[in-house]
Amino acid sequence: MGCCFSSDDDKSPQHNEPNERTKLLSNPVSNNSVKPFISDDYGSSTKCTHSHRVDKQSALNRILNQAATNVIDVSGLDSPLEQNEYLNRAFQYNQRIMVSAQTFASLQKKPSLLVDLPAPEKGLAVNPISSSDLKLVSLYIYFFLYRLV
Amino acid sequence: MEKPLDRCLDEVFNTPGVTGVLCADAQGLCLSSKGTAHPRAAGVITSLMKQAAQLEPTADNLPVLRLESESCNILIQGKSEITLAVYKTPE
Repeated sequence: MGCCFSSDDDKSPQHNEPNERTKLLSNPVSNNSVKPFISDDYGSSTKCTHSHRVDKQSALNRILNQAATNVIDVSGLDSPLEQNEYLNRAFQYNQRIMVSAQTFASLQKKPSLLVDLPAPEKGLAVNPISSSDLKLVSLYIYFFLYRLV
Repeated sequence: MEKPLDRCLDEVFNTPGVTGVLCADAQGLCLSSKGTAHPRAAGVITSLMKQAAQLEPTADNLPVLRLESESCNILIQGKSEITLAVYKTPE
């Protein structure tokens, strides 16, 4: 009979050229697997090359520079106020507040209760009519009505 | 005719501390007075009572007024057609 199929690879140099049997895709299951990139492996620090170290240092410097430009140092702003300057400014601000408050004072509603009395709370705080006086007038008004009717 | 009214005034006037009593009608006319209460005060007392009654028109009873001064306190109470004023010494 004849041979329909043979699994032997033809290793002749003529067959190194691509032909109809050349594999287009690499073998996924292969002994020669690509080693993964090892970056921060503690056990493999010795494998970091000098270039890799330089890249890390430059990245760190870039981050530090970016942070330095973005940071707002409040304590390092304008020089602190002196005592007399502080007091002067406080006095000026108070004067401005008083001037502007006068415009609002006219809009405030005046109290409607006992405006002519200097201390209305004293008059309102006196003891009310005693129960004996209350009974006196209430009782005698009925006497008068009863007697007059 | 005024005897019943006078007896009422006497009862009120004999109460300790009372120095005067006045009784007025709805028009402010003095029906009777006794002690320090002057009859001419009847109109003022009745008018005050009417003004005070307007503070609370829906109330069943008229309010009791107390006029305070250094020499005396005046208690005013009204009922239907009668207004009674009692003059008392300050406590």
